[in-house]
Amino acid sequence: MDVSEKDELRNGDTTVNYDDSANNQPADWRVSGSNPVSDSYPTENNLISSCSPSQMMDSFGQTLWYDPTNVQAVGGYGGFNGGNNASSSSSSFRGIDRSVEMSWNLPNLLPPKGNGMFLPNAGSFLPPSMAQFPADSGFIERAARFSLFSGGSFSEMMNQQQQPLGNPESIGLFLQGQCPSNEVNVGVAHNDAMKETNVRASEQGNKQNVPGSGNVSEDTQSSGGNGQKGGETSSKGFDSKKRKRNSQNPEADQSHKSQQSEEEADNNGGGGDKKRNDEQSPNSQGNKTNSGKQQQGKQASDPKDGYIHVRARRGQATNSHSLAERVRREKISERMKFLQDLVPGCNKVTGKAVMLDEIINYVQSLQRQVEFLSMKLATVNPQMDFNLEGLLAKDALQLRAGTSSATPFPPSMPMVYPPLPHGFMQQTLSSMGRNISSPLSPPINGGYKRQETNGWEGDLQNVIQINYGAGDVPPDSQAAATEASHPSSNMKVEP
Amino acid sequence: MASADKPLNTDVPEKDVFALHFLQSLSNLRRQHTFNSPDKTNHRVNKIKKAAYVSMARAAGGTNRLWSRALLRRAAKENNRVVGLSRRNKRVTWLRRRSNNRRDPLEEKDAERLRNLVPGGGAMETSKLMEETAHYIKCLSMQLGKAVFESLKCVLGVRSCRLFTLSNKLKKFTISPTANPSRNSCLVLSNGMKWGLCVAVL
Repeated sequence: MDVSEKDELRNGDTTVNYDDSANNQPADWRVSGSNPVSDSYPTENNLISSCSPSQMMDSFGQTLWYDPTNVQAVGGYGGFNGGNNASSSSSSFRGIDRSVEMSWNLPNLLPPKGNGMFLPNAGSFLPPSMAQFPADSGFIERAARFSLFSGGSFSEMMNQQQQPLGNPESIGLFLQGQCPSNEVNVGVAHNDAMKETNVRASEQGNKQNVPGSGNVSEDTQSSGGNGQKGGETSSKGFDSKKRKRNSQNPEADQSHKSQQSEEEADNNGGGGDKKRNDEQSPNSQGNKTNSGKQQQGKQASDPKDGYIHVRARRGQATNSHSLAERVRREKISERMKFLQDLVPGCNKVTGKAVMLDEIINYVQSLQRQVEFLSMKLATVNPQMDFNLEGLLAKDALQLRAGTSSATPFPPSMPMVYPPLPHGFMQQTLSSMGRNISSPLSPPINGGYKRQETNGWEGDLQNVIQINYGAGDVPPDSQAAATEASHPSSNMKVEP
Repeated sequence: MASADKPLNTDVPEKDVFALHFLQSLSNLRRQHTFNSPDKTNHRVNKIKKAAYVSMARAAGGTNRLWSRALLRRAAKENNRVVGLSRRNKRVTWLRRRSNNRRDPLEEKDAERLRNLVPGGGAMETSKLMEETAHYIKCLSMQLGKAVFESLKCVLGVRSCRLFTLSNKLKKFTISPTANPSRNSCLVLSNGMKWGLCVAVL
């Protein structure tokens, strides 16, 4: 309410001023009343409501605004700065337009009727006097309106030159203290109003930012949104940063209620099939249109259908090569983690190089073990002559429980080694014959991955089948299990 | 024993599959008449070793894995046999050509060593190499644990064997020959570091 009061005060004061000394000191738009807010509050209201816009306009003379908001007067009076481009003004006009429209929805400080009166009059008022800035005048008027409503714009406008962003609460102070540097302020007035509208929008949008910072964030967000659209082309021609921000503000103001969704909308519009993720707001926060080095990787590496869309993280290069490189590195690190679980004793080790060394050592040791065992086997090979067949059968017997029927029965090695002669199988079968109670069941066919090459495979399968049928306890695997449960702590069965 | 990782499929067949394969290969070897001559020990060792690898490759997934495929190919080439592999070689070589440009120099030397170790690793990208290495390690450990152990048991004609795996605590294990060395022997396979395979034959 304080703000509203100030607004009303402003309105009243300016109105009074205009009426009194409209022609004399057109620049003295500032409130001379400097007053305690309470005093003129009711009277100003009456004045505002009573004054007709046309009357107020006439009192000004040429371009002074009737307005309750000094912005209008200032803007109309001094004309815009030379640097005001039509595009900027138009864009800012648009922005103000939208902001003002949004402000309609806001709890208005002034009666809507008054606003309705002002605007059309402003429109009609504009053409004759402000031919060169048709859009700007209307824009200014709306900016003023918005700033009026928001209540903080005045100080914003005032302080634009003096300090980056003023405290909207200190409007009263600035109201009196402002020098008649209207011309200077005019040019930036609308800019400030724009920013102010943004601030207001953000504030009313329940943003918790300090107005100054809110404005900045607003701008950054808008700039981010613009950046997502491929850069704000209109901003390039602006000399001042304020202009650029103003031009970008319209886009930001589009959905002032929900800035985030607006950002998302921008992202959606610009990003297309880009993935959305949590980094969107930080992306927009840190996005500057002019500096490419901080630009978020809005574009993935040429999104191709069916590919994994990757979004660059904040502060990372957005080169397609680097993105792919990052994906690759992530894949490698993920697999390294998996390997870490495999290799025993590698949980403490960190770092890719050390891990790789460990893995290499492990593989080398395994291969050495294989060689060692094979050597051992070779030395005792001659003893295998008479043992092997029986042992093979016995081993096949023992394999029963461990290998379920789903386990692919290992085929022979037909490609490399000469197939097992049938004679061997017959011998095995005969040896098992007495143990066989049931006839040979059909061979196991579950999940064979490899092709069958020889006929004797079926015999082997039969052998296995026999083993499945016979016996209940798999001695071998159970022996292994007992070993596993062996109390000796240092030992565990090789998994 | 088969374990699966969500994104990576490193399922490994059961131990017994490995054992069976190995034993079969051994028996095949023994069928060869020139095998049992005692003077060509090295030759025999190599053959057994090759048999072990090939049986492992076959047990571990045949031609589904790159390393097994490479192993089989290598073995077949040595034996002058034609191995019918799937038509994936072209793609592998293309991968190699492509991957040569995008290798991280930091890890490249380690990856190179790994490539030399793992069969068929020369034609793989680093990420794929990792996957193959994981599967290879699994199969190797399983084969060592079970297959060779089984074969040893068969070969040595013993009734029961105990298979131990050295943990990190034990660095070395002394072999203590017992009175009857042919019957009681303890094989210690250790690389002096953390892993070791100790087979105590009772």
